[in-house]
Amino acid sequence: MTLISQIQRWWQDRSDESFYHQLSDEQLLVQYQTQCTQAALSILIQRHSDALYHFLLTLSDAHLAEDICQATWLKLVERPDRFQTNQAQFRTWLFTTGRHALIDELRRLNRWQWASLDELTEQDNEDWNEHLTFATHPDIQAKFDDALVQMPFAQREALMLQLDGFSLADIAVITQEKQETIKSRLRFARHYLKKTLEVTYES
Amino acid sequence: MNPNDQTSLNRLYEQRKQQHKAPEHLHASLLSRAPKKPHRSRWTLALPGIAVSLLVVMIVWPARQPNELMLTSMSSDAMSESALYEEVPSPVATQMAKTAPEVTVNKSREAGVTQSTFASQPSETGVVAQAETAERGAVAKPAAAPVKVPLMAEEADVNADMLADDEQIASIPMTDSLAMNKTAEKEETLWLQVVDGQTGSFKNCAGEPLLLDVETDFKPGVWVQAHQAKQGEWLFEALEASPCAQ
Repeated sequence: MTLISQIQRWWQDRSDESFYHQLSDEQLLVQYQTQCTQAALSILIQRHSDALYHFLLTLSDAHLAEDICQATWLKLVERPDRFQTNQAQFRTWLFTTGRHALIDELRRLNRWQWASLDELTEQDNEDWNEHLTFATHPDIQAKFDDALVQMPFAQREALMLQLDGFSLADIAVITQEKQETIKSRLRFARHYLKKTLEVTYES
Repeated sequence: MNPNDQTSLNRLYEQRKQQHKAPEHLHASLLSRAPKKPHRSRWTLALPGIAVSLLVVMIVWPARQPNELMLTSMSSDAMSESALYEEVPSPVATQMAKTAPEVTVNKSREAGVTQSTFASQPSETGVVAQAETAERGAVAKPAAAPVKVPLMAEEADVNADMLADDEQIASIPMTDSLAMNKTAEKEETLWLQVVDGQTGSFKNCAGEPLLLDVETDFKPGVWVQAHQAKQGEWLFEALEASPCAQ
């Protein structure tokens, strides 16, 4: 490859990157589906890889999270037509696929535990979406991490998805549960955090 | 409590996410597994098509032009008594004309020369295409497109000796004496064998009969060298042997 072609390639990639950054996830995926454009795939990974990895890490461990994250992306890389734009948003589809892969792997490793105790109570208040603040102290972050680990899987995943910006409807799609069930799990999760961490304000 | 001493749940979550980012190699690993297709912009894809189209236009179009112009129409009026018109076609047209026209050779006693023309071949549209062959030694001026030039006697470098043996010729009476006289002025030295000196009957080296408007006392079988003076008078010089072997 000559120097000129390398420069042309660099310039092409650079202009592609700036162009693709303006596209939505779904548009990027169409670009990748139709033209196998690596720049489009790269931007998709940049946008969502960290969030997906963190979600999987919170539900498992670093090693498993990395493997499942890679496997999830590879499903998209090898078969981009798996994602149907008319069914869900790309991000929702990505987290759903990752969650299913993780649960399958946990089951295979006999690490799957499902504590179903959150659907028993029903409340009409909005505490599933309340804004919580905590008193800052040096180990608040560690306490938060510990609280997540102690939290049941269902509540943990609902809280992580909510904090990552998913709507109640999206969480219901990802977890394949009713929205009321998700609300209940979120209430329990937040209640647990209030007990564990020092709450200074709640609305 | 001081607001600076407080932190929100969302902030705790973001800080945790920042601390647990996806491994760096994951991104590169995924991209390396992605199928690679050279991505080219639309104008780059269209470039070969444009280049091919241009080449086709540049090569095919000029080649079509002479073929169309080769059949330049010549009305019957153009074949006037004052001049014969000859097409000087492009090389392509010349090549095609070799097989197309019918050759006629006129041997007229009145003109005393051999006059060759090509009978015109009517085209589909009724127009006339006239061509010449290089075999007769006619001057074919190179030209990009066929043009009509008057075929004067000086330019019609045709004589009986140069007629090819294998050519299919037919004798057709020539009514245009003026044109033939002009052609005769150009005739050069001829080597002829006398058939009948009184009637001006000769044969050329190819054995073709020729009639000249002269009366001579040469005996049959004698080879002569004939030359036409400017006044139209024929001058003969007897030869000892046939010059045709030369």
